[in-house]
Amino acid sequence: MKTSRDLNSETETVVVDSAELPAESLTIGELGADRLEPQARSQWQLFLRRFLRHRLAVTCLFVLVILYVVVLLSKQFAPEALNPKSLPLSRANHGPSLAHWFGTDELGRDQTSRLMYACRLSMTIGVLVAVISTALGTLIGSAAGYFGGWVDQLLMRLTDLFLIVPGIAVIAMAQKGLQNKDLPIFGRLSSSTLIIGTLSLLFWQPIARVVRGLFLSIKEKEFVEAARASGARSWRIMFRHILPNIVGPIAVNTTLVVGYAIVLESTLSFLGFGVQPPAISLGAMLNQSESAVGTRTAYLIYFPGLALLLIVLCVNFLGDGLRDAFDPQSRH
Amino acid sequence: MVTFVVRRIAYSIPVLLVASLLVFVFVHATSDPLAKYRQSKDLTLVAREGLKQGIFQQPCKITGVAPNRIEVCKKAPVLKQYWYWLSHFAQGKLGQSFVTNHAVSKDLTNAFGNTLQLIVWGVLLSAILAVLIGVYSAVRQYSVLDYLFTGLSFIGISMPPFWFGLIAIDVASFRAQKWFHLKDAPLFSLGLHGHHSPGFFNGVFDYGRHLVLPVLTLTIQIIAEWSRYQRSSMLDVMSSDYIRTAQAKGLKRRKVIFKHGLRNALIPLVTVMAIDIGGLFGGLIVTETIFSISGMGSLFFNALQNGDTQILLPWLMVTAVFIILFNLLADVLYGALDPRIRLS
Repeated sequence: MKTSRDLNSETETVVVDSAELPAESLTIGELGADRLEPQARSQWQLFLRRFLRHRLAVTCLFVLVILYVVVLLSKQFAPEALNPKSLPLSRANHGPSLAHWFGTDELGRDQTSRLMYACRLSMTIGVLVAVISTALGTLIGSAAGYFGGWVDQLLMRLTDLFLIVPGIAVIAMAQKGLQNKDLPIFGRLSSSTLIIGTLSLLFWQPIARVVRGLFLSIKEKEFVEAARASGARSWRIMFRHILPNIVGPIAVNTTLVVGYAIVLESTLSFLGFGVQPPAISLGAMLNQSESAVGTRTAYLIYFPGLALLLIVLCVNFLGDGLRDAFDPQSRH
Repeated sequence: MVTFVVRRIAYSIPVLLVASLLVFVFVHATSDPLAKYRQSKDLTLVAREGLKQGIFQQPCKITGVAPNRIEVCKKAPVLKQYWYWLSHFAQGKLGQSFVTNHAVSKDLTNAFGNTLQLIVWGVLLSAILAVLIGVYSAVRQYSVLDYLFTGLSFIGISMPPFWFGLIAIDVASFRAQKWFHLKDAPLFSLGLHGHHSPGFFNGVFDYGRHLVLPVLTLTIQIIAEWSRYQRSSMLDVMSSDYIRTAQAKGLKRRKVIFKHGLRNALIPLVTVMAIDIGGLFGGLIVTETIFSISGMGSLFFNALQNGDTQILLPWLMVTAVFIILFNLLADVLYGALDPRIRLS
């Protein structure tokens, strides 16, 4: 269904900026031919215009960027260190106040600081997992889609494997099995590095499947044939001719993976299979304050959860905005 | 149809075998199934159990006298161990849990009962809610309630279910009791049974009070997803020609919506449902842990926590079979509901 807004995006590529025209020259004959020329806009400019029109997505992007910059600078901004040397038990379990916006926990630690450090780790894990799995998934997916053959077979069979077992169970087992163990190449990994690795191993697959499908359909197009006829090598066709055409769907999926990864990481950390102390993520915070449910200090579970909800909600809206901007036809 | 089903099942068997092999190798590489026995001073126990589980190839040679006893046990190759496990698994001998010392098969059947209650009620609730919300939102597109449902479904999709569970317990179980000065919590947050009042109706009522929170926690995400799905498929259907025809020939609106519209809009939802029901097993791990329900999810959680490797593999196999069956059901239903689709 096309709305009038969608149609506009097509017609607005032809823009005559009447404000620039001097008033006296407004007779047809005197108008320079170049002034009526349609202003050329690249694909990127078109995308940007469509994206900026999506208010909610732009707001969400803004919120996410501000939030991430603030939490990245937690060392400077946070009132307290992540693991303070002394624990002021006298102020334990204080509710939200001006001094401690989000209250203090049962050890008297300032929740504002802990929330900032937790957001930093959760968001970093989400972004890194998305970047790594996109890189992996794009490489494998494009090889599978372009060459077919055994790469394709392997990818599809692997996908079949992961379809029949719940992802969270597999990751939980991998986490439990690999935590505090010396791994062959990587040595002993910290719990947050490990979960980035295990989550990436799960999330590259959906991206690889998407990329494979797109490659399958695009490699039959004429311009690919033309490139091949003019003697381009396979890797050049794959990464210079085909890949730029599917940046949109890949970016959308990457964004969605950020959200999924943050939720799955928090779930695993909540269950105790994810990030381990002294590192802290939003899920690990909720794990530590689970017993606050139904007590006076229930704010300990509300705030980290709300932060989680805000981040994931924004990421999902951003993904929606990107999808609409890349593919205006798909709007419902 | 029959050949399709048979072929799909035949295809899933090797996938299942490969999955079990990979998990077996991983579990045995990262954890020691004999850890529990090694803690005891009695080395013969280790030797005996290892032999029983097919980890050792032959009885261990034990030389010397305590405390200087030396135990020489030769480990079987992993593939041989796997074959040992598989052949026993095929005969239904799943071994014993390290922690509870129960037969694994008994633990699994007990757990499945509780889990099935959660899944059945959960699917019923979410299907009804999702269809109601989806149809309403589609028929009254851009109404206030449509916007409200859209907003709520975005929140539902983005919210980690475990946090919803915690908040739900906090509000519906503890706060509500305090606010309304009730004798006990309006909704219970522990287990599925226990604390049942006498009398049939009271019993049913209490059963419901136990169920509401875990079922909601398990399904909050799929309710949100399914209602979005139902809304968009209903919108598609309602803008099609035969709906306009039905309206044009003067049928009642109710009849147009439910008989002509809904029946067609349900087809895509049903297949998504069948696939998602299989996927519910992942959600069970969180839900049952939070609400202390002894089902499949908490069985897996406890087994993993305690290093009870004997349970993990059978658990994965049962779950995988369940998921495969529901994915198959999705395909079959799709063909049955929509005669235009041929299974091949």
